[in-house]
Amino acid sequence: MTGHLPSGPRRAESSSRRQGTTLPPSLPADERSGPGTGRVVGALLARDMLVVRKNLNEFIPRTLLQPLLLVFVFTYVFPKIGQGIGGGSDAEGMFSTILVAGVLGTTIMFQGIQSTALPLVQDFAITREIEDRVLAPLRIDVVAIEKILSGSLQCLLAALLVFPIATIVPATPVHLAIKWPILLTMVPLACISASALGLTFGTIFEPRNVPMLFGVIVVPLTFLGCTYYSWQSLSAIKWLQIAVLINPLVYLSEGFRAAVTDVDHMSLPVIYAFLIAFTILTTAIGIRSFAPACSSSSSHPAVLLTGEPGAFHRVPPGFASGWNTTHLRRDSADVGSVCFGVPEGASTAAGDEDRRLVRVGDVVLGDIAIDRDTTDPGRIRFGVPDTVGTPGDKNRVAVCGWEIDLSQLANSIEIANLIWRLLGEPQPTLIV
Amino acid sequence: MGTIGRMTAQATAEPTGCFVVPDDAETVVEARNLAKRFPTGVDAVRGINLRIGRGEFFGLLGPNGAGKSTTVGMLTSMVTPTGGSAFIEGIDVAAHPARAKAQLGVVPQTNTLDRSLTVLENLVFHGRYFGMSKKVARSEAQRLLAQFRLDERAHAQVAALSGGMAQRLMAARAIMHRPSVLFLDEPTAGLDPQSRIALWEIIQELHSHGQTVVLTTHYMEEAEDLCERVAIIDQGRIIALDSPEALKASLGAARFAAVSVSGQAADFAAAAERELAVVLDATAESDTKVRLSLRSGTGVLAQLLGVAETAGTTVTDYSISEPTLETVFISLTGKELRE
Repeated sequence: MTGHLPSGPRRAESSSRRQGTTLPPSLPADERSGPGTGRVVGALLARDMLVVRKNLNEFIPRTLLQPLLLVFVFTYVFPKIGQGIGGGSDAEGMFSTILVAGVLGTTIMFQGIQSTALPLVQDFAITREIEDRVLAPLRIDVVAIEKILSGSLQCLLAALLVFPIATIVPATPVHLAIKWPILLTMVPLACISASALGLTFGTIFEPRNVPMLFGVIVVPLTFLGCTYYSWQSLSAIKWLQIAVLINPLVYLSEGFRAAVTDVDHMSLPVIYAFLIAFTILTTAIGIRSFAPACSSSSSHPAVLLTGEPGAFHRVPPGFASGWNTTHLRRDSADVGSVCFGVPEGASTAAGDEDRRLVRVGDVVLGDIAIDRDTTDPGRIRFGVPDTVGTPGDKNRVAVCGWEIDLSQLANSIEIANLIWRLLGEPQPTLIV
Repeated sequence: MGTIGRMTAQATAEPTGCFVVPDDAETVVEARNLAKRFPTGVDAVRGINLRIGRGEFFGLLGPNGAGKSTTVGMLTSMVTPTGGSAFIEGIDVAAHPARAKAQLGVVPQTNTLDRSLTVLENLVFHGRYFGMSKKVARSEAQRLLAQFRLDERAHAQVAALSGGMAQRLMAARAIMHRPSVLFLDEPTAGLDPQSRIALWEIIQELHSHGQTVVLTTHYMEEAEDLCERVAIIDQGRIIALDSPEALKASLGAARFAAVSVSGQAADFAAAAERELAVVLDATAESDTKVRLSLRSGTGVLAQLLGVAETAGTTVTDYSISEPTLETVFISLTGKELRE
């Protein structure tokens, strides 16, 4: 069917027509393709570096404190109080030297995760700032690569800050033997692999899982990352020596051991091969999950709550199985809703409305409406702020057999939160 | 005035022919059978065809969850379509996202300003992302801050801005690189009335200088007052597309009346429809409420009072209204825009 249209009575007199071309009047032809990739990436990096510079007062203590304490306690305090590590004084002297490489490796690994993963977790789930960066005229995978580059620069800065500490603080001498070709290749490789790992973590973890990221992943990586001992020395515990081979930090520590000391280290080709393969793998995973993470909320813009809308699959108690709750939303007007998909073959006819009246004790609490048809998302509707504070049934809604007294809640976001919780999800963080 | 194009299931399969832009305008935005099915199985958009001409102020109107924002997401490369394609200035958005993004500006629904930067820096870096030199970006940013009345807050952190100021800054950011088309996704959601008016003044000013604007909204007043053409979207499909005037004219009724009676609403509705020439249609919505569409609005009350008497009831309340896009939406879908 063809609907033909009026020419638009209020059309602005601006449609500067050019026969046979679609060039916008405001841009010269050579700008049509947009700025070059390198230029845009450069601008994004400049932005990230400005932010680092602005936050140096946080960046420096955050970066320095852990390595400083580590080196101070293990290589200054212990020798001074006579509580040696690893036996005799020879081993103590060696320990400072062994630790230098471990400290560099840990610092870079930590920084890669902190400076890449944490901001991304925030951006994806809470601030949605990522949309600003993603709208820059770049392919989305290039935006992800820029994140790795930016993280790498921060890792480099961290390594430069920490290196002097690891060599100056120890009470026993540190025997450095810098091999420049190894150092100059190991530093960028370490920084990039740590940031690529950060990118992967950043796209996978949600804010509520961040404590787990540090407690369950980063801490074991550090303790079992050949930071305080060389990989060779683990030959005494063969199974451990093999088990730690999956830990990327082992290769960073051993790589730096090869680069700055004469201590025995793992074979260099193995180190390089692992780190290159690891970087490629984590970069690929990071890029793959970056794009979906960027677009997930723009498809459900009314969501004011964190959590991936699509990941919210749990069947609320009281609903027939197979109902997918997809997301919770609220608009700025006066109505909020919980949307959910209905399974194919649901018994209700299209357009059917299922109302559930809920009674708790002797009080009828009001009802919720479930709109659904067999193909469309349905909604649980609930009223919001205007009604809050007014006495009467209007203030009470019930979801899944639970009563909600709206007058006890300050605003619709709280109501939305509560409903979310009743549906079996942990309370999400608010975006206000 | 044209007639309303109503899209049928058959028509969605046709990439052309539906809702074509007037011949005298260049196409800036085009959607061909654009569709999105989310991994959850939800079909958010089910085959949208549209063309938006240069200089047009185009509205996508529909209730929450109708698929407006997903459509805009696909037009702006933020959402990957699962069917069909989107073009900005003839550039396939999915195939060449970087080139397409250089041609479009977006004012999103949520605050996506860079919270690590100041107001001025937000604009300067935006300019640099779009290829401006530091110097040009800086002078453009300052000019825009003055134009958008934000110059006093140039060095403030964006977190310190009010909702209205943040929205103005996002508008400034969106047009800084002179996009061919400016997308506004529910831009006034959550703004106080004053900020809303201020934002519309700015957008209308831009439009008067030839800026192509695509607005999504569920506020029918916004769509009615601002847009030259409006696509009404429901359940992922365009169900009507025309100028607001033509859409309203398509209802065939000049006025709508809502009448409350003390009882027997069904009898009253039937009598009104049967006996009064001015009444096109009367529906009893409950035992006491009747909705009527009317050929004209003058002298109707007296006639209705007479009919009420013959139907054995009395009128307790009466209101008359002009057709709005809301009534268009109700007549097309049988439900209200803001449910």
